[in-house]
Amino acid sequence: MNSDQYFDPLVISRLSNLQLRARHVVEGLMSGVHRSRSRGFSVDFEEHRAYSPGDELRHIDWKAYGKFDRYLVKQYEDETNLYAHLVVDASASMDFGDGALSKWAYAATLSSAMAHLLLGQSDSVGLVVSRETEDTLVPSKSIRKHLLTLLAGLQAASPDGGTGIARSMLALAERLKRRGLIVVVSDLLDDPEAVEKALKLLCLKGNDVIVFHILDSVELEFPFEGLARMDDVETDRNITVECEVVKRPYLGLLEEFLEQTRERCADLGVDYHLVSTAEPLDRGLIRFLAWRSRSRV
Amino acid sequence: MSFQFLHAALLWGMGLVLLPVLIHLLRRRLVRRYRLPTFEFLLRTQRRITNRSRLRNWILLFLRVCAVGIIIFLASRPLLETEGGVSAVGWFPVHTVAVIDNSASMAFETGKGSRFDVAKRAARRMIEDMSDADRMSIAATAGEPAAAPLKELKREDALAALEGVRQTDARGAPARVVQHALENASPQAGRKNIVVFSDFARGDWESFQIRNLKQWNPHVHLQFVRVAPEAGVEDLSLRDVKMKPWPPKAGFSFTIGARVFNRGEEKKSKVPVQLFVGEELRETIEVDVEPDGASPVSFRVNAPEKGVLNGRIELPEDNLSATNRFYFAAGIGKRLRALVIDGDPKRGLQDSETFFMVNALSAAPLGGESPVLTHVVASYELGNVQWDEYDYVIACNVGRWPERGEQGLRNFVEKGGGLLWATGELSSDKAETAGLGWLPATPGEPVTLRPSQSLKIAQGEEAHPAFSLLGAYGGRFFSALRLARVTPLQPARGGRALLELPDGTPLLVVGSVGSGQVMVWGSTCDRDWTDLAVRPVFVPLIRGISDYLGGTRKGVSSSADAGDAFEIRAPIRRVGEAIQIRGPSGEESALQFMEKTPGLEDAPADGLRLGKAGSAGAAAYYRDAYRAGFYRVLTPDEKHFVAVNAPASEANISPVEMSTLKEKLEKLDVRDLPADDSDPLRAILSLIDLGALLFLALGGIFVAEAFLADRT
Repeated sequence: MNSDQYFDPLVISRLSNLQLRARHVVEGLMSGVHRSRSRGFSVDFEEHRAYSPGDELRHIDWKAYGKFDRYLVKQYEDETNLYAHLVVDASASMDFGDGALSKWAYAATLSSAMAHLLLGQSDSVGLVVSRETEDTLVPSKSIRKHLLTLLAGLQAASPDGGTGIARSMLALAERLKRRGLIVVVSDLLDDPEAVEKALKLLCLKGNDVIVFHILDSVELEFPFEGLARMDDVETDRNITVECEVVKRPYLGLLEEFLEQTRERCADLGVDYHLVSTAEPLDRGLIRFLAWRSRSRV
Repeated sequence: MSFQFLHAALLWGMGLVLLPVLIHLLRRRLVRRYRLPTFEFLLRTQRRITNRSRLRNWILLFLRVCAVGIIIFLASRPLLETEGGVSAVGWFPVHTVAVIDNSASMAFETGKGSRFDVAKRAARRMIEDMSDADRMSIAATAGEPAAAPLKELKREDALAALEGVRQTDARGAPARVVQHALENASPQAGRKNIVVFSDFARGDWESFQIRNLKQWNPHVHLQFVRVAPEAGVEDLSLRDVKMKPWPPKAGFSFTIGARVFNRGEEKKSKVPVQLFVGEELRETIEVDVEPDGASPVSFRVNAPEKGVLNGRIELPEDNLSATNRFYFAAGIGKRLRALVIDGDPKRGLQDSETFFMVNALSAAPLGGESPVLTHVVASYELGNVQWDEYDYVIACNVGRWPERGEQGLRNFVEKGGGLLWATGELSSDKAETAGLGWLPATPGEPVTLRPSQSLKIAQGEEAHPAFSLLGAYGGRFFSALRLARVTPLQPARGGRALLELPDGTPLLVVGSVGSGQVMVWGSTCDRDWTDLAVRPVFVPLIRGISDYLGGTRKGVSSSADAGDAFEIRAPIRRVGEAIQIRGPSGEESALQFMEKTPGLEDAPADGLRLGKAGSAGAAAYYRDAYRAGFYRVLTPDEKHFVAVNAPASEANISPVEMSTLKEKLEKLDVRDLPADDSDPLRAILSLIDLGALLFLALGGIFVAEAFLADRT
């Protein structure tokens, strides 16, 4: 398989299982980069895991090899570098996509891949599936099989209702006891002031915040023509517009919104990434790894 | 100010203006639906632009509706009708043709002059209103040659031309004149008007249809102005004038019958109807005429023995005098002049060859005169004969012909004279008659018939004019004849048999030589060879042959309708002769007889015939008889009259109803012009073709639409 195809949304969309998707993306990514600098090992044994290329030979449990005739590597509990939380927007507006993956599918795949990476480096990963009024929470853990729990949380969610990303971030900020990494994956179609306030609070509490702003290419380019009736995804509102007439002002407003969001994030020290669902998934992950690399320096 | 449309039916297409609206609505129904998460931005965008966009859309819709409407409007050729005369108000001069109806019915008195006068006054004001750049042409419905060119005149010249238009007693030809004006309206003029002033009397206008005009130039504004309609139609007129027998016989009486028609609403009592013969009042009859009714009147008149009869019937003067008189004229029949040549003059009078012939020709009623003057000469005297003095010649048993006599006879016949050539013992000599080979029959050797035989009319010749006096059963007279000796005839050079022996041998042959008619009789004119001369059939046969060879002896009526050309016919020998015509008002014209070639001239039905004229005769045509009355035809030695009357159709002065008129004139402008002096120009309209204006508007709409419409 060509390495680019690992991240092609069209290819990924053919994989129905989220775990497979995440693994697919991460394997594709890792085959092209150096091994992780993170050790991720401690003294409290937690479990064995299968040896994989890149693991140091000294970590192979030779006794277990003698017993099971397989190379197993020891893992230890309470040995983590990072507490990370993935905040994934599951509002109805995320259930939109003109390409192979909807915004929700794209966000879920991206989040899963990041969870895979983080857990692979023994980071503790939690999940917040954001809804309008109530969130679905998966507490953070660093064991590898926690990935399954995270993926199950993502798979169980389906985008619906209004946007509650600001509220979810605020609630998370109040709930967190330790500083860590907050990864927000959302289209941010919420009250900008509230979003800013929530991000500000997260930052004030010493968290590192990464925002993946997911938008569909249709939203970014407005490729419609002629007379069209536009329905709001989250409400019953609709308007009839002449697409050629409204396109330019619409794109202007959207650009203004993105610029404001970008500036606000920059002011807060939030790492902001605008991601189109038409982009290959590795770009988001590379940005994430780049940030991870910077934060370890 | 109002609109006229040349193709008004196309206005039904105005429903197409709904097309843009329908397309607009249909487009709204075909709108696609999309879901958009960033709806809020779209909403804010729409709020910002919605008012401007809506306004633009409404303007676009309006422009498109207007464009369709203008295209339909343009196709229906709208003409803007504006009051204001015929002078130029725009950039280009106006050419106006004023058509004045000068037919007989326009002479109707309105109280302020005749309708013709009212029409001329209105036309005069129209001319005075012209600008210096405008041009005017004057045309009349009667009295002008069909193809007279339209002169484009300036104001002063147009006024002079208008003064030259005269009232006539003729019928008008409005269709021809309007057609001519349409075809010849100035191509340089910016606007072209044709204004017709007429009373629209049924006589001239009932059959008029604008669609019958060969070419209707839609760029020419046609306007019809009805003159003085309020003056009514009250009038007494003479109608259905009949004279019997006509032309009258010399010395006999004839009757003149007519009907006096009252077109008014009141009964007319004791209306005097006068008969004039020459200028002498002969009789007056008073009649009562019911409203819208007619009363007959009849006169008996004695015709003179010779010469010309002329006279008139006359009603008292009223609103339309042209219908109050009827003129009549006729030439009383002349006596024929016959030259009888006796080929054997040595005998006694009673036994002469010509005795029975001369007596048959001279037969007359008791106290009367024979219509034929005979002159008998011996054959040896033929060299001194003035052939032109005779209408026909009868040669009885002429053997030896003097040299000049035979040639003179041939010339006489070829110029139209008649000849009856009868055989006998002397004329049977071949050597003597060798020069007569131009006759239509060749005589054979004399044959004695034993027993004697009778005659019969050749098949198919029963109706020949020579037998016209024998009645319906003329053949019975010939069956009683006895012929003991005959000269059998052989028809030649187109001759054909009229009478035959029972075995079919031709005995009377007729044929043409030049312009003359020739008969050859195969027996004698006395009792030597036949008892024909003492039989009852002899006189009517000879008189019938006399009429045939000498031409009609009846009088000729000489009448014509005003406005029609009348023909004056004469024998061909008069070609080149000058004649003078003096009209009822004393106007004189000189004419000349021309050779009349059949088929080249459309011979009018009426006219005057001076003497006998064959199919190829002489003729002169007088084309200026536009007033009723007597036209005197003067030659150096003759005076004749041609009676010219207003056409019967002109007595029908009831106007065509306004509704009928508008139907006939199809959407054209028809106005009434009152007899008073109200400004006639108010009735004159101008039409402005809106085509160019609408094209400009359409172009503007297209530009605006292109500017507003977003076609990205």
